[in-house]
Amino acid sequence: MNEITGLMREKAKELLEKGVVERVIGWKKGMFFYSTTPVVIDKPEDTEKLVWDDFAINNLAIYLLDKQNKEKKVALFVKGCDSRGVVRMIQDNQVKRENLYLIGVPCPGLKDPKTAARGYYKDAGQVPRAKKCQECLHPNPVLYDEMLSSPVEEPPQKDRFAEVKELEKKSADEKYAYWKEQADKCLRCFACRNICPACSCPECLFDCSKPRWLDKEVSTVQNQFFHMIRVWHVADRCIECGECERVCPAGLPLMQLNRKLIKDINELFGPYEAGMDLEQRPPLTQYDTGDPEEFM
Amino acid sequence: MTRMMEYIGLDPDRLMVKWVSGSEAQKFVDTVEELTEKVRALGPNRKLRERYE
Amino acid sequence: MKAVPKDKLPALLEELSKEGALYVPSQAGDMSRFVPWKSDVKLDLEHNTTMSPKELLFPQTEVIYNYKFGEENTVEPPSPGSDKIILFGVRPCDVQAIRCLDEVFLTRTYVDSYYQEKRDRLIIISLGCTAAEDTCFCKDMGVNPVEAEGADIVIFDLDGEYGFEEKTDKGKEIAIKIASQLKETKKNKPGAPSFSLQVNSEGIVEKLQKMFDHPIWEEVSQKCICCGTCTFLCPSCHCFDINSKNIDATKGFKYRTWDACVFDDYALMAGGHDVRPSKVERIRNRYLHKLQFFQERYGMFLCTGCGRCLRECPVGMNIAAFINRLEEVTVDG
Repeated sequence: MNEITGLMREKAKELLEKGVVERVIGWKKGMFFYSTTPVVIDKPEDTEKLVWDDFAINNLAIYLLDKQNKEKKVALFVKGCDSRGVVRMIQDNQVKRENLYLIGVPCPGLKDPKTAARGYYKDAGQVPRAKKCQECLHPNPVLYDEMLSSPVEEPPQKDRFAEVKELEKKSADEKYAYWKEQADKCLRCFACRNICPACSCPECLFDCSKPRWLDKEVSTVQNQFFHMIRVWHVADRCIECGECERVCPAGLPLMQLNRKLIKDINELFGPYEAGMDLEQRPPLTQYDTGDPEEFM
Repeated sequence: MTRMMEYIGLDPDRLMVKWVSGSEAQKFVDTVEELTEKVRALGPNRKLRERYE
Repeated sequence: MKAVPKDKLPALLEELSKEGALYVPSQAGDMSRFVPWKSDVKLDLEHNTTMSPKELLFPQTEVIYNYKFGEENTVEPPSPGSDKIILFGVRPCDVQAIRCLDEVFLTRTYVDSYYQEKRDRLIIISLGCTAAEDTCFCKDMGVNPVEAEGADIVIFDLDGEYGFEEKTDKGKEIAIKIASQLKETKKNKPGAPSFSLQVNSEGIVEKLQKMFDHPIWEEVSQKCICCGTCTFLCPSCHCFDINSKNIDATKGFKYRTWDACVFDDYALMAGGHDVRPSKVERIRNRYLHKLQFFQERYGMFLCTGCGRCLRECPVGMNIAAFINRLEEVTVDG
């Protein structure tokens, strides 16, 4: 058992016993060496289930949106990406800060259980670091009540829009063909939407039957519309945790869509990274007379 | 919006967003005519079409 | 037993493709699935596909009928296909799933003509498994991992060649067409693979019957995010939703699409009442359908142990672990 796991269990137990929180959300070990899955713990004796390892990749912030957790006092273990999700939810009044006890876990970069399963790897050492973790710029939690260990070194700044820029260079027809091919693969399982900490609507427009904004028919065009609308709806909320892309069973490059919008927002409204700072107003929720009006 | 349209390979000239007040009848007419002319020059859109169209 | 050397398999598939639409397992982009055979398709016979073959019998979106309004209103069903559909390299778990679908769509008074039309044209050439993945548990769900009951032909990996064994008249008929490619071999059928995952499904039906109100459902459903990954990849899930779409004021079509019992709006009734309002009820329904209801009605599990949902679930839901957990559960009576 590693040190962090021990600290996690200790802390969770203490918080539950003292009644500081009603439940703790963390990770536990599943059936295979690569299955580390979210777990909800209500009883002090169950805290022994908690673990921290290479595969604790799920962003736990989404569980705060769950009806059964919304009104409760909850302790949540947060990596860099989890904490940014929480910040953005607090800004949207989705959760109350006073209901949360955030335990920061600096993240060394993790591995994806799906990569492990799909690659038929035999042990954790063989599994490469997850794409979302390779792209991560903020592995340390940005909002926490306490930290379990000292922060990890921030990775060197790199151009997070490199992929987007490459794609932008292509011709219109090439771009269209590329996105059409991607949309064609989509199964519309809505895993991207449901795993997303920025998707917080109680009723999603895609589920709305009157009027039906999106046809239930799964066709290339409908899928193209689906992904366009989805990405607009998380504009200035996407914290770039990369969960949507990670969980997509069809392997759609969803971050290329998300980052395109983030890049545009940066260009139009100045540098912005969602969920980094509770006090910074997200650009699309405020109005300034100097805002650009590019296409008006 | 136009930037995203370009990104997915659509022609941003097909989109027009204009603020026209209810009392600006002539501006409304001019806007519609302007867009119509623009789109006529571009020809029919072949992208994002349903298969049965 | 007749056999074909592995390097001659493409020639045999080429021959087979003349008999109908031939589908083979292949890596297509980031997802492996059954694709139409072409000489440049890269066969993947080592691992099972991510997408199950059910989409060929029961497409995700399927037109039920086209309609026209006018002086006379008309309804016209889509014209049926005529070619044989040959599925090559289907694993025994997926063959079992097709048997489940057969029960649902073809028995007990109502016959689904859309499914039947394709099923009648289907020829299943199954590949017996010689190795089990860490997520495989078919043998514990009543599936023979080597022989593939329900297949028309079963092929075996005989180390360097593939052995062919016809199981049905349909299989024999198609085997005649490729007979020139097959030679007699003295090798024996491979034995059953060893499974690292052991699932104890004994007595679970009786147990689950008493567990409708058990607190376990709340616990197992907690991490579910209610997406459709498990149901859409599942080879035996078969729920669908019917909608219509107007193309213009004079015509349109009615179609069905896959639905998932874990979706928020699945059990939502007109008028706003939701019979399964939270994921607790939805997961309970999914698991009970797989493990209890289907057994009660058809005498088989609706889970065939293919392991797709274990591998692909975004949050690591695991039906095999759930079945094994039932051992610890005690119920009254």
